[in-house]
Amino acid sequence: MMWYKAWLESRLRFAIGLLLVTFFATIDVAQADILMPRMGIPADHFNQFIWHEYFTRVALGWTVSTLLLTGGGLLREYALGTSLYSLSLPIGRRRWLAIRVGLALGQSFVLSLIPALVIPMAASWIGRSYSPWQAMKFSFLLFLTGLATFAVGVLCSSLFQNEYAALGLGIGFVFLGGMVANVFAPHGAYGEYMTGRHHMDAAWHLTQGWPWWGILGNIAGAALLIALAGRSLENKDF
Amino acid sequence: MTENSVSLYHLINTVKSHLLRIDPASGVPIYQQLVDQIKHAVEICGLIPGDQLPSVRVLAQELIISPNTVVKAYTELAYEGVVELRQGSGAFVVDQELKPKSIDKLREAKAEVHGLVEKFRRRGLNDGEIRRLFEAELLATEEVPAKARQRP
Amino acid sequence: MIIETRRLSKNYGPVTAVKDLCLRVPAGKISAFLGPNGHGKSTTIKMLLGMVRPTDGSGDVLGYNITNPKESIEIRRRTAFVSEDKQLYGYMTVKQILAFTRALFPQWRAERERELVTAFDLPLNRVVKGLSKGMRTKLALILALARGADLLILDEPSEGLDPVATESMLQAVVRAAEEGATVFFSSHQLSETERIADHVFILKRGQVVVEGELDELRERYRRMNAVFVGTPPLDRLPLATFENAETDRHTLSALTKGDVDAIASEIRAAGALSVEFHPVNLRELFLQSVKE
Repeated sequence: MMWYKAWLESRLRFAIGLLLVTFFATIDVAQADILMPRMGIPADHFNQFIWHEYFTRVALGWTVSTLLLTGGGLLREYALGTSLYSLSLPIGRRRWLAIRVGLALGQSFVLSLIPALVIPMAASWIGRSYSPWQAMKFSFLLFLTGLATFAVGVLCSSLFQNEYAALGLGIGFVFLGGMVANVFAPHGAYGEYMTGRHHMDAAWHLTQGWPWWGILGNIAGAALLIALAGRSLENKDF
Repeated sequence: MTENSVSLYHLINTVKSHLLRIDPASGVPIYQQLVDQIKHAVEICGLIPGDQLPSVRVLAQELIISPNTVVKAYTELAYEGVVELRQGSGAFVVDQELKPKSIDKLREAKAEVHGLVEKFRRRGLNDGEIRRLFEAELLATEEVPAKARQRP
Repeated sequence: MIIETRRLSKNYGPVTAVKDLCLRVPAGKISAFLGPNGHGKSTTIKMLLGMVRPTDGSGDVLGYNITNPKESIEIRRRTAFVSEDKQLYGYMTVKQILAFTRALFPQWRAERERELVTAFDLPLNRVVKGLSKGMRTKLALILALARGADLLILDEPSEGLDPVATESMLQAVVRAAEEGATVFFSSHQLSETERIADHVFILKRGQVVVEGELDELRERYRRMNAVFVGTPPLDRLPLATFENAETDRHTLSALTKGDVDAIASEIRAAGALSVEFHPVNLRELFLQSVKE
């Protein structure tokens, strides 16, 4: 029932995320024939075009949707007044967090797969073809390298009651991270792994394949941030 | 009391406000008010011997008072011999006049008083002196009221 | 003791909400927790349920330590809490929130739930957001009472309720008590408290100033009015047994504690023409106790 509650709380945000991701994934594909020349990509290098789209549009849409999904939780309930009810139940605070995070993770993963579904479809509408399996690889990469961003969202929603604060700070972190990384290590090195816009690009360029260090770094960073969120909730006076 | 007197048992269950009226803000303990009112009901034959008082659950819910208060009241009534608590069934009004124990007690005491009074008269004390002796004894060793006794 | 605290304290920065609280709440009784607003009642309840961490001191509920997170969960498994606001998940329907809560309590009493839903006439398919405060309170009560909890903690249970709903609420509480639950409630409604409470705690500035069985308090305290020839000679009176003595020309009025005969003789010895003692109700006792 706890998963059900988390689902009821987040289904609207999930629906918005679904729309956002679908929109961002397909917005340019339909106009590929006009955009590719503008971007200097030869007409027969469709894969490169999609690759670029994933790193920019899709990543943006997915990141915003993911941050949206990390909202809610006990702190939001505190603002609404229902936290006293939740906390009077025989459920630990960390368990509340774990279920919320678990569901959001699952939803975020599903959203990352959506482009792999819709891009090949959109491509076929303009007479192009794109392999769903190739797209899925990018989806996995997007998801795994976006875990730290996800965790930042979780931490924010565990620290701030205002839902917009959590979302705003999360997005701010992503872009700030990207800007900082560009200053210190343009198009390379660690900084890029954690940001939402260029992480995949850098990762891919650097390693010509799966950026295992980047992925591990993301997972470790995410675990740490979520642990901090748990600790913060545990210590809070409601 | 005749067999036709209306048992107010039904009234206790349905029209509580007419029979048992408690005033929580009077400063008098609620259980005491219940005890007094039930004793009064027995005296005026509103409750007749054999009548069953409402169960603790029912009375507590109808008057909206603590069940512990009802228990206290019933316990006090049982202590004073007004009702009898039967295991598993509830509280039943006792027939005061037919209580064998009190009749024997009184009969015995009456005989003893007769004996004492005769003895004092033989010694030469007059009736006025004998009466004053008894009154002084009762005043000096006044009975401790039921309330102050150790309650369950 | 079903609840026991030892010098429980809570400070919010420079503000002291609760100070050295030593509460001993008996099992199987209905206990009232009274005090002016802001004097620490809600904070105490929150500490007992693990929602707020004490700054100092310790406490047990049902034998479990309130500051240990694992034990606190055990407390909540056997306790039902109805908060003052009675806010419930707005997006769930009545049916959904009942199902949600039911799943968490293996001792849930389904027939009691059905009975109360019918008695309170709650619309099962309406969203909680669309319920009036009275209906939400009834729902909160059902969620608490159907749980089969050993301890019921209610924070201002009749707040925002009309008299009819208040009666239903009190009746349901009394019934739960009759079935063996211990009830611990805080309230501003002294009249309803006087009806159902067995035991009373009065809180002032985060500390217990008066406590005891309500019947015993009724017998312990009296309102005394004494008339003197001239001004009452306060210096010759045993003020230790008085609370807030007030004089008006040649009369003295005070709340007395203890043996009325002894007090009466002392007052007469000090020159009183007449001494009268009247019973005191909870409202008077409360107002005198929390007077600044």
